[in-house]
Amino acid sequence: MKQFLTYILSALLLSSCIYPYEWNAESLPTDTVVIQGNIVVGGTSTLSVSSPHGIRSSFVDPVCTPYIEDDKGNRYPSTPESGIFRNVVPCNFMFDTSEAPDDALFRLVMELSDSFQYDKRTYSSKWLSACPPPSISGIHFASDNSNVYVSVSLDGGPESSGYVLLSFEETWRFHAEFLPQYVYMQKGFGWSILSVADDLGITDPESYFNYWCWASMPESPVIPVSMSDNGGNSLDHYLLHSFSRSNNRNHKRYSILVRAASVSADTYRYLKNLDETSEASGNLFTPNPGEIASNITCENKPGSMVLGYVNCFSPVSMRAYLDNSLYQPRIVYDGLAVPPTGNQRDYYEGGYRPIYEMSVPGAAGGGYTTGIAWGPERCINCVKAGGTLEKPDFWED
Amino acid sequence: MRLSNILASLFALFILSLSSSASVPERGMNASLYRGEVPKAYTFTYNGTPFYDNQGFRKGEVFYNGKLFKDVTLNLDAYSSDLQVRPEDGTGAIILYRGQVAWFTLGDKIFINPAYFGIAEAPDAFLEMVANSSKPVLSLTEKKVLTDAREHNGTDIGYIDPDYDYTLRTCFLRTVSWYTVSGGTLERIGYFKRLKLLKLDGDGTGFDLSKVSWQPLKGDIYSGTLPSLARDTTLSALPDNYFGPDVKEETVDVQYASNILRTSYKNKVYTVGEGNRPSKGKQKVSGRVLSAETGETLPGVLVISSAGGSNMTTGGDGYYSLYLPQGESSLSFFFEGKEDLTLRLRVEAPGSLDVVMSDKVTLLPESIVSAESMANHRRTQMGVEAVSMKSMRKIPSAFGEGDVLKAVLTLPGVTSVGEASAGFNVRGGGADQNLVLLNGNTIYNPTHMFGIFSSFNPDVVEGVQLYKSSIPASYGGRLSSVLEVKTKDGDMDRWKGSLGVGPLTGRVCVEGPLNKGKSSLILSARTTYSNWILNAIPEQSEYAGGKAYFTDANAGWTTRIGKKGTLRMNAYFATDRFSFVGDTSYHYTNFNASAQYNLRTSDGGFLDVTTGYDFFTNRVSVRSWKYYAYDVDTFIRQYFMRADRTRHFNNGHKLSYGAHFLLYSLDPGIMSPFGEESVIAARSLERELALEPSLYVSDNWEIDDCWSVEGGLRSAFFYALKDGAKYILPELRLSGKYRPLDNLSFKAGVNTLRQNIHLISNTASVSPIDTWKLSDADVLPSDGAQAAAGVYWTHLGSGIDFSLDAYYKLMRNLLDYKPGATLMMNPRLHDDLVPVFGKAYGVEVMAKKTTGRLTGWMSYSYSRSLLREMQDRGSETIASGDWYNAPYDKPHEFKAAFNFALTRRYSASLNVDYSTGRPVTVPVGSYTYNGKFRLAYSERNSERIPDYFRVDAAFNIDAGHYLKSLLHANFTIGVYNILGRKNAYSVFFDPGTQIAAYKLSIFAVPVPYANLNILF
Repeated sequence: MKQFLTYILSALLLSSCIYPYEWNAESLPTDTVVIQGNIVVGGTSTLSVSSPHGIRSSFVDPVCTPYIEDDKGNRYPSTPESGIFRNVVPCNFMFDTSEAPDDALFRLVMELSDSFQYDKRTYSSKWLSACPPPSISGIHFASDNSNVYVSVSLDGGPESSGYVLLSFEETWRFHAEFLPQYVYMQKGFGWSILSVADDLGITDPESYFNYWCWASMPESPVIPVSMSDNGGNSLDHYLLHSFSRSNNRNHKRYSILVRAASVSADTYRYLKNLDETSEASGNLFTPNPGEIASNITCENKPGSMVLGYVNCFSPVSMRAYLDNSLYQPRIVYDGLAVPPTGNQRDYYEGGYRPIYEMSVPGAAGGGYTTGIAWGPERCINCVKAGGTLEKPDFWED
Repeated sequence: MRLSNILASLFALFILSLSSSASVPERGMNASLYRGEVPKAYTFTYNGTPFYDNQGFRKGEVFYNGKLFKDVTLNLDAYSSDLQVRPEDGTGAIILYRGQVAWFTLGDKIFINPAYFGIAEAPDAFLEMVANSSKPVLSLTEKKVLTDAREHNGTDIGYIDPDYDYTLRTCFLRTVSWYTVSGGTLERIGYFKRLKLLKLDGDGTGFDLSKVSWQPLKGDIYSGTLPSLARDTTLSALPDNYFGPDVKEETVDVQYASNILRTSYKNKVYTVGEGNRPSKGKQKVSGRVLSAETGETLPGVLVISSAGGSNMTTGGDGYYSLYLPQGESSLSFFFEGKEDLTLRLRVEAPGSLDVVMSDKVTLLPESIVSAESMANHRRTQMGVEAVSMKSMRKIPSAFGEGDVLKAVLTLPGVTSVGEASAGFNVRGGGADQNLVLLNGNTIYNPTHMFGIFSSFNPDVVEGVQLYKSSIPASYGGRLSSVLEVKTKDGDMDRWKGSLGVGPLTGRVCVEGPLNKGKSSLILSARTTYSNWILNAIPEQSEYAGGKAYFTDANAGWTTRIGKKGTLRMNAYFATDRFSFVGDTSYHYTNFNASAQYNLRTSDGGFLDVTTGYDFFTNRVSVRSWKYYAYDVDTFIRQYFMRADRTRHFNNGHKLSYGAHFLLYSLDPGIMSPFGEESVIAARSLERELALEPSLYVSDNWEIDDCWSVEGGLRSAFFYALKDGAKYILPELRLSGKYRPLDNLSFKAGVNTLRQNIHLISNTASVSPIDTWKLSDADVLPSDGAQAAAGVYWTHLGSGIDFSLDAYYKLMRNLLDYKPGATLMMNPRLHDDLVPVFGKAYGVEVMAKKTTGRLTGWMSYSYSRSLLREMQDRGSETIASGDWYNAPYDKPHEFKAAFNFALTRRYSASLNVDYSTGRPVTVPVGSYTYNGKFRLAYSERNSERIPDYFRVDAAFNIDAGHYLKSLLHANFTIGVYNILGRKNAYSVFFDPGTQIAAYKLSIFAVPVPYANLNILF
């Protein structure tokens, strides 16, 4: 009976599976354009124009000349050096809209030149206005046994649309995994392991070894958020981001810059749908995908397909710091080795560096062997681990 | 020899001679008639009678073996087409050998045996002589067995039975066919020809038997081949040894036949000791049990009394003796190889009751089969599918339980979006367009575990009926179908039960009398122990850490009130909880309760008054972030009351009318913070209240045996209390049937329907986060019309029913969603919805075999279901305003479900399911936006997932015939998806410059299962 149940169990566990799948579908029209525009009232606006990746077709990015205009007759051309033209994906443009009036209507216009697959045409977005910006009332940190959580509270104001876009940038100071007690270097005619303090007399090993660095992450994709869960025009402790307690963000000091902008319901719905339908999970309850029409149309050829959307907003931001009180240093032995004396040069050439003296279990039969443990250079050099020694301008110690 | 011995011997001989003369009754002058076969008993309970009419045995004449016998007590068993005669001594009946009967009279009716006269193409039966003009009109009255309780009193069974018992599942159904004789051949005729011939017979208004002369029998019909009827010649006896030496004339046969006769004629109550003097306390009832086939006594028969404590086994002489209380009780007889027999008794005084048990033959199944075949021909409605629980148990399902919804899915025109998905689609309708009723209660989510199981415990379900075309006027509120699930009443005679064990579930059901013969109780429960599987799923799996649990319970109480009334109270509870990956869990619950009073009326109809309460709640619990931990609950509460009346009229009309009242109370969303740290603001969407009173009337008119029509009107009024929106639109039901032959019928019908409650979903399958919405000023009621036509033919030789149905449906104000719609906690949900037109059409072909060892059906359907947005929203209009595929559009479907009986206990089942893949929206490209790869999609539902094909097989072992055993067991072992085909439940895509596509198969390998049912 037990065997039978085991067989049933095995069969059931194996019964649900995911397999690669070949499908045939019509590809996108070859003149499809992808446009991502952000009209930032009181800041720098951006535009990205690209071509899609087809199922069976290859596309060439379009060549375009864009500008932003408002209903008061002002035109905001792209800055001369901002456009990167064809064959580079995507074409990015920037516009100085820092002086744009916040009570105006704006639209983005792009004129495409004749090219391999795009004939001359003009695209324009709908006229858009920026919603009054929200005010960020707080950035909060919390933790449990495994993670650190970053949340944000904000107030949409009395004229809030009920929807905001959130994004964030992270910067943190961290150190290399180890501060070495030894170095391996040439001395005289040979190479040997030397004590940092005793042999070299280094009094500031942290500087000597690039022990402390700053790291940063670029701005996150925007997160469309409905404020309905908190009553309609505010957010309270909205979970924005989380990371492991053992992450190097917790080594010393962590900073997060949160940006928020109120957006219209249409913009929210577009971005939310985009997220839902792009993050396919195969879950039984995944919403059926659907395409929301873009707010950009081709004036010369109305039926041509446009993917993307132009947003218009006026963002606010707030920065907060978290000190490393949550950090629990690890004792890391992973990746360390005690090479035989005769092989030390090979280890060195392979990117390994001596760190400190340690005991490791010996061969079968028991006992420990004491020696100098070596590890990858990124363990002792934070620059090699992706950091920078340059202190960011905004950084406050 | 001593004188005393001589006297004693003489005394003994005297006594012996007395007893001998007493045991051999005087047969009278017709004694030679009374040698024949003893009628078999009908060992099942039924309504109606197998006889020609309900007038009982009466005097008549019979021309038998070339001789006329007068003043004979006889009757015609229209079920077996046997003429039975009863000797003058009142003992049991004898069947006359049909081949020797030329004609006979029954009251004022005349019957002939056309085969006797050599008429070609004649059925092997007696035909009634209706008119005898130059072209005679004859009729053949047959009785079939129908296993369908309710609404057959009156014309269906041939007369109005004031004691019609609606709790009985089986009744004898009367059918009449018409013939004439042309060129020496019997020719079947339809209504118009019969009318024409009858006009020749007189004034055209009908016929008068008093005008019927005997003379034409000799001439017109039989063309001179008719032997002399010798009506005036009375013979008293057959020649000696006419039947040959093997035919024995034994008193015992006749005596036992007497009891059989009473059983077969009324089959309701035996009176024991009538006229005898009652003794004190319990009364002794005794008798012998004999074989109907051999007349031999049966030793070892288990005799069980419903009175409790009294049971015994017959001795070597087949004799039994029990003491029973005065009044009504029952005796059950069990013997291996014989049909189980239960007799209802009214014990007045000590008395004897001899019992004849028949061999286990296929009488009952064969009868059911023919009844099923004929039921469809007789019914005016079309698109009505009934599936018994017995059939359902034989259909393989994923985990071996007999499953109501999975059985329904084997029927043509019924599909689902995936094999483990909740909900089903009927003829191109959405999942919410099906009204699922359990004893009159509405079940909003009839599934457990995402759709793997239906939420109906198979042990308590009696059967289901699906209306997919001609929905009776008594039902409304949904556009596509009505699925009516009935649970069993508890046994009124004895306590019994069942236990069931499967890989994922365990079940128990107990039923029995609270007051014997008057009230009963049935309780059942089912639960799952699926967590042992889910806990074993590897951690790296997407479903690791998942938990799933469900349970359901039924309770039913039935009591008889007076002779004609029955009160039923039912309650149902089902709940599900599940979570996939820790943080979010889903929980939904059905609770339903109803009370129904059923009164059989003297006109053969009934009055049903039902009131009840339906409750459905759904909870989504999110715990991923303590500050945002919350629960969202939705509730549907329904209070309903309905009165339904059906009346039968002698002119072929069956009138149904009634009034329903329904109060909806719907909470579309209540959001509550969970935990003290949660910052979620508690809020509720406005409760939706609505009234839906409705009236209906319908008439089914059996114009004659060929033609019938049914028309109905339903007036449903909907009043949304929230915003005062009011909607009223009469619904029409119209269907007609033309049945030129007993085994051939044509039907057509149209109906209109309306729906005021809508399931709002943007997922392929019905999901736990879907929400329901009532119509209001912003969301109009959905309505639709369906026209359908069909032809149905039964091949008499093989018993295979063939059907061809075609339908066309138009609907409007169906609801689709805008991309990115927020369905949960959306106070302006209607802004995210778009009204759409619906269009569905198709053809369904089916062959069904219900006789013999191989039973089952196979069907092919071609169907389309399309949607089109009603509004022009510019570039956002779905599919640019063109028709697009509904998510459940599956053009080609082939289904087969067969069961082959290897023996009476062992059978094998096979299930085949093929369908076109359902439509999906697939990527046609990808692009980068907002720092991520995104997918650009095709027009909505313009592509399809791969076709679906699955074969299941099962081996069933039914309960054994160890009748002395208190426990019996059914065992099923099978394999679901025996071919191991990796059918796609869904396809999904990983965005990137090269889009990776995957398909998810729920049951991608053969899934073995075993299911054990223990009956006690």
